[in-house]
Amino acid sequence: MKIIIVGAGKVGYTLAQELSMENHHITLIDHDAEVLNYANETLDLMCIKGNGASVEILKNTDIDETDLLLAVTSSDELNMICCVIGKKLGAKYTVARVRNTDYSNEFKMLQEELELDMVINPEMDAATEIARMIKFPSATNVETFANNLVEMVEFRVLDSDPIINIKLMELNKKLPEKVLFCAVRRDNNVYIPKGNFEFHQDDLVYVAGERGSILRFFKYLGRHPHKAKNITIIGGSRIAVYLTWILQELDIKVKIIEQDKDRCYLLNDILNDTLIIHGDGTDQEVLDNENIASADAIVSLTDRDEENLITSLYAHQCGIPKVILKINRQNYFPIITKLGLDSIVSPKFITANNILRLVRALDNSKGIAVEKLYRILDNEAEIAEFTAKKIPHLTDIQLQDLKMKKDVLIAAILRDKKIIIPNGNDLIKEKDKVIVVTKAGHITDLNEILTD
Amino acid sequence: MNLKIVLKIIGTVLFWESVLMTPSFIIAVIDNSFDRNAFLIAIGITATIGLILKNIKAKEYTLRKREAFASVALCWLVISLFGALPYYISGITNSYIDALFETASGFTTTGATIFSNVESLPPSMLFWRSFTLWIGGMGVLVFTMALAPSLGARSIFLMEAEHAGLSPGRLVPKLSDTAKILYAIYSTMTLITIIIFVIGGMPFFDAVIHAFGTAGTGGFSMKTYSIGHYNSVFLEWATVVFMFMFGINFSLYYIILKKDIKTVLRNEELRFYGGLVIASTVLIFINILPLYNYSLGDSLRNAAFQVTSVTTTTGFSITDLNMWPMFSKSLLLLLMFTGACTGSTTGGMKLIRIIILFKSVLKEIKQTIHPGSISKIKIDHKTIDNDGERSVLIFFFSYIFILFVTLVILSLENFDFMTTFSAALSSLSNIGLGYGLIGPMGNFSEFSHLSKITMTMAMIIGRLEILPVIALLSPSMWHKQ
Repeated sequence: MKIIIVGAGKVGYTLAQELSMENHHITLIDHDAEVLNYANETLDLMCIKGNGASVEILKNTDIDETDLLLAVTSSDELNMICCVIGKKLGAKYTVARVRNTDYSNEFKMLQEELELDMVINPEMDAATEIARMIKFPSATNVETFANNLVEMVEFRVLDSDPIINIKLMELNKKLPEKVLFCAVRRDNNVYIPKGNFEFHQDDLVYVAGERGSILRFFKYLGRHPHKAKNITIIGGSRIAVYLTWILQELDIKVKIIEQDKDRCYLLNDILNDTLIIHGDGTDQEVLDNENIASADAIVSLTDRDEENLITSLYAHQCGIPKVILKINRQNYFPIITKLGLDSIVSPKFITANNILRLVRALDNSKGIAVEKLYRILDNEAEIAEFTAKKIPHLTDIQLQDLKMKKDVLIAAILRDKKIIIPNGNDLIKEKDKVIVVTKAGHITDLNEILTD
Repeated sequence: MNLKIVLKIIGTVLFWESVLMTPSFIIAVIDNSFDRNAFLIAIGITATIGLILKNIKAKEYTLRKREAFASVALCWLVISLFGALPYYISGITNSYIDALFETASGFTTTGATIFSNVESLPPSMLFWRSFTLWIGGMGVLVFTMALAPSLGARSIFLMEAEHAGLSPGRLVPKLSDTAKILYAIYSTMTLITIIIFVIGGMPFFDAVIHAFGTAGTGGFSMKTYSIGHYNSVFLEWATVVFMFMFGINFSLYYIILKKDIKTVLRNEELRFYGGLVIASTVLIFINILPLYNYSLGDSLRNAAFQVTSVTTTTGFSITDLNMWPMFSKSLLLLLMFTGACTGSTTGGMKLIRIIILFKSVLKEIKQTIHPGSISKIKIDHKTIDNDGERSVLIFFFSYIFILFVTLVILSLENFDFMTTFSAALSSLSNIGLGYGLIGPMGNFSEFSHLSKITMTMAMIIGRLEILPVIALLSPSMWHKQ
């Protein structure tokens, strides 16, 4: 696909990187020569210096043949204008990033009047993601597949869990209901577990299954879902505002600690029934004063990764059941997970992931078969959903007889609205939805799981 | 430097070189020529070593600038070393050094030859000679990039190192597509050249050989008197036009294809190129009038032919330049420095650098008169930043310095000054034509092995525009990380 990305900031660059690796034709527009130069040297794409809302610049990019225009500069207004002009000049699909809370209730109107095909709001997406984490406290990450019938849940193995030090094939016999262990991260390595795999303490595990089975699996582990009632948010950023809105609808009490006094007043204006505290969230005195140890969850959302990390470590030490933190820089992820903090949110990645999902959906109508795709465990492994077509050597053959690539796992098969967590005797039929876990690199079609 | 990835790239390029040898092998088989086995052995050796290197497993695949520069420089050395095999194995050259010189001269589009009697060479050899020149014109790595895009996301560095002239632009987002477009334009234009030559009365095979010589702006011929052999005014004028066209930046042709003629006509370098060729032609035309008995047609044709031939660094000639007056000879010598447009198949300094140098002189004068004035050099309304200006100045110095080092080594031969100087300049600027012993009727066979190796190096340094090759000499380039 031909894609134009306006704005080479954090989100723009991440998108360009992911999309160019998936063989799309990318043109990147920005007015900063330095970031463009970096992009030009590290990625396979074309860079144009200039204002992305200028007709002349856009015309230079063959915009009339462009499939997708992504406007992700730091200015909401520029992004919107850019999409409006792009659409008039012939771009087929336009996406604008709009993040100001003032516009957040007007998305529908904006979309209709400005003919934007999609409006993305990273802060809103991040807030939704955090809310989901709070709803499922025992899991660090939850993804759904196959029309929300299959859930894939990430959790960390504790030393009290009864799944430690037992071979996977033995374990499968002991479990109350069938679930599938898809991927495991241990010491910076990612494994697709096979029959003789043993879980260790602190492994990060992805498990897939029906929602009910997953819940019973966690019960078996002795982790009872506990409904969160009090949440403390450190840092009154935009995400905090969106998150408060979502949580209040779930009847959860929210307390926000914010350092900047003016911001506190502003928050007080926008938010109702919320306790706003003016104070430094990294200061233990302030935290103890607010008795954060009694909170069901603490969410660190300040603009500085380091502050979020310190606060979260302290909260973790206090024994708060759920600690969530926002981290902008990707290279911190492995260090932080090592410290025992698993619930990390990165707005940049959530945005990038959402757009990638859109691109794949658009691509799908052009013949590429992936329907849904997630990167997990710091992009080391991939979960993809396909609808099976008739493929020789693949369909109607028992899974144990398939010649599959190493490190590829069929996690679930959906047939007639029923979930099959497959074993060697199952087989893939035409029109099945198939969910595949792989660490063997990007796959774009189901037949790529077979050895060449 | 990550040597494994460098070797991997060299392997890929070597593999493609063996593929490129096959047409010559097929010609040898059809012709039942004695050098059939030479090609077969050369293809076998090149392909085997290429495949071995290609399958090296590297831990890290990131291609940094240093690996890219080293790969390009080493690739050009290695393809010359292996490309020399057919000449050497078949025994048509006296020594391996001669074979190496001839191959490097081909790939770098110099077109200097050590064969004193080209007309006796078998067709397969003539084809291989001209084919190296055609491939070398647009670039061996660009060729590989067009066919095997697996050289990595950062292969822009490879293109940068191999590309003739300043900052290569991407024509389309994907680098491998850009390479494909460049080769498509190049091939189409070559095909048109062949057709016009055939219409002009050249036999088909001769037309192919001379079209390769024109397109690569290298100037290998199969006749002692090159284009002059056919004694056709039409062919000579056609060659002038095509040489000129292959001296134009290829991305301009892409812009023409996109129907944006205005941008092309406004291109400063193209205007300068046209002006330079016309002005030099007129001056030489006046200067050589007496030599051709005041025949306007002959003088104009000869003047235009030699000017385009030298400016585009092709090196064809239809007359004995040694007979020309000193003014014309000096003017041609000056044109040997400049070369033609950036992004074309020509050698030399490239006109864009000359324009930037002139503009920096003007800027300096302006700043002396108005000390507080702020001015930056602009080309096509785009500002050239200080880094760009500095790199041109450094390039200019390095070019002159290497020219004189080459000159000093070549003077050990104790030939006359015109021969020695034009030989040095001719190799560095990839022209292949000079005065004295290496004039249109001469060749490079008289030189010693030391001189041939020096000129081989000068040709490769000149083709890759100095930095990639010189960087290899830096010890820190070879450090592990």
